[in-house]
Amino acid sequence: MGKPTDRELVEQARAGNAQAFGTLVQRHQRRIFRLAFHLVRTGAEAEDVTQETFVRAYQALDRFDGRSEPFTWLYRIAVNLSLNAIRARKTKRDAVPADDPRIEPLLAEHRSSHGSDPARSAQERQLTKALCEGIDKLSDTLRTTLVLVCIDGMGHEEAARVLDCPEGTVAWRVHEARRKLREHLEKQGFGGDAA
Amino acid sequence: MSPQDKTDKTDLGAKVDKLLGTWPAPTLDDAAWEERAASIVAAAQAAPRADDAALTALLAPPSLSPEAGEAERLVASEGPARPVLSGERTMSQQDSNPGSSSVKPPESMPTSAATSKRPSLKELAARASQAGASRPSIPGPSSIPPAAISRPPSEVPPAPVSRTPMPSAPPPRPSEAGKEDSGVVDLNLINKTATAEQIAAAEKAKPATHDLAFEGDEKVAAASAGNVKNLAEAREKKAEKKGSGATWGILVAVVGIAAGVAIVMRGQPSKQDTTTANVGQDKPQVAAEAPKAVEQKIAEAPPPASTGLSLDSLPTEPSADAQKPAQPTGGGAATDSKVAAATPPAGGADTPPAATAPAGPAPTIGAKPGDLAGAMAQAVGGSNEKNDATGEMVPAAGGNKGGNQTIPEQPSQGSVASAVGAVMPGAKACVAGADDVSRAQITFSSGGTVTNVSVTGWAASNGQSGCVKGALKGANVGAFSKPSFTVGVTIRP
Repeated sequence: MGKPTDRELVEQARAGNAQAFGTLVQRHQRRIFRLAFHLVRTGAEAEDVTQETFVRAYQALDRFDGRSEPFTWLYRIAVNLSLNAIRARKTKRDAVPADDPRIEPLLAEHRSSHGSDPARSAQERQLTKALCEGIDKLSDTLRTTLVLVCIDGMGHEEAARVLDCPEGTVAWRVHEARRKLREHLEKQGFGGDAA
Repeated sequence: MSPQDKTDKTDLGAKVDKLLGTWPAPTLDDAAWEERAASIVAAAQAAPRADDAALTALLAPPSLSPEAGEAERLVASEGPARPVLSGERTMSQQDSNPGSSSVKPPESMPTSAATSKRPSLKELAARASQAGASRPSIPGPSSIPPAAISRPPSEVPPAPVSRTPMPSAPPPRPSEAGKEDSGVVDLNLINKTATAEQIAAAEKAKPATHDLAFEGDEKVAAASAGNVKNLAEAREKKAEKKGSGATWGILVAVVGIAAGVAIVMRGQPSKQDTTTANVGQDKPQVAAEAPKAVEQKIAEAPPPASTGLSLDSLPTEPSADAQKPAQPTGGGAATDSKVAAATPPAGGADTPPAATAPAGPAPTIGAKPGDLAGAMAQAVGGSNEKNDATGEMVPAAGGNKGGNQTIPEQPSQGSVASAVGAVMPGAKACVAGADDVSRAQITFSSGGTVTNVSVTGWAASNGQSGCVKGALKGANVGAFSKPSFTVGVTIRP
């Protein structure tokens, strides 16, 4: 017998099977955490959002109508909680600190591709920092869509279901967000040579 | 922009895509993830039942405000998504007319020009012809997707389903290579660079525009001319056929109308009798006499008075009463059909029907037969009851007895946020220096005041719950109609 599907796990959890819900959590918590991390931009808040997402999903299991995939449903809760967390912040961060938690994981990911060249590493760090700044300057709408599609790798159709908008709108937002990111990077001096 | 610049831009786009697509989050080892999952499940089982409204809000689509230009795009592309059009539009807005900015660009990022220039018919025609020529259903060697045409490669939006980052760029079209894209499509250049198959396909798709292009292809032109000629002949024949058909149709309609009039004329007396019989036994004689009375008295009627009108004194539809004498509406004003018929429509002030009417069927609403307010209340479904104190009509249903129409069912998100935000500094002061967050469930009564605060987390385990409760109890969200409303807040040090 193969692994149970998400829908089956939801059904079992709805019937009171906590282990099934635990399997669902184990299966999706990393992606939910990654999404929340890129939306709220801090690890601690992303952990809170991840936990809250599953707690709320558990409480709303009987409301899952099965029209969409459980994962899409979880994503929508996570996005809503992340947006709530962002909006609850009193102050808006204007500058990306050098120790922004998003920078190091990306540098570590690409470190293997260019070895230990210090100049290249410094350039990569600057580019990543500028990229973080560009993403932070995007509106919530564009940033959320960009994170869902370009960072999380969600398809337009699925992102459209999460955001409840037409696929074309998702494509337009992604296009617009990428264009603004490019403009920002060019203004920061990252033309062709930086790439 | 030089080709080198374009390549650099493309490279930057590809680089950004690569970075975005491989951007990880901080990772944990498997054991940590499992431990975290176990704690999540435990928390889910232990957590108190959340408020239904809060859950509903979380399950609803995220409330993201539309971007500037997004609404236009939605209007332009009804139905399924069309990222092609959106991309084209943005590009043309950005590049072709940077000066005419009528839509404010998003405040989040500076843009060169987020304008709302509407594409001209010429542009639309050019795009349509290009899209038609490159459709997969039409044979043609071009493998460039419609989305890529008329835009620089770097501006092509991602394909609708893309798990991986966008492909960097398709090769530029010969007609556009090496030029900075202005957003304007040069049709002549495109015609020159089009292949024979594309020309044939475009011709097949648009036979009526054969004279716009393809000057060198005589065969295609001749075939198109023949098509146009055949089309014209067919249209003439169709018009002739349509003309004769219309004549016959008019004749049939005239005969039908005449027959209908005849049937109505013949059926009228019996209909009146039927109506009278249905109404009841009150005034059958009057009802039968009414039509005659109308005919006799109309000739004798004095000219209409021009003054002395008032709403209360007006008879309710005297002519209708004369023709349908047994209808109870009107408070029995037509029971004396002679008087009613002799009274001209505008001269009701002289002989108010209500005054002369004997006891007929009871008025449906109001004491006065001409009570306009009563009639209006009846028309909207009002009851026959009157408010004793004011004399006003009482709505039949849906009335708000409490009169609290302005009180919402539950406090709005904004009021909750502002109320909690007002007391949050005090709560934060209680947990200053804490190394973990604290959570509180605030319950508001329908008056808007806090009735209960339950504190968990750091504050509860460090004896600060009383302080936090004291701080949060000062919140007030304003009155609402639900018995209570609970909201959870996280207090970060």
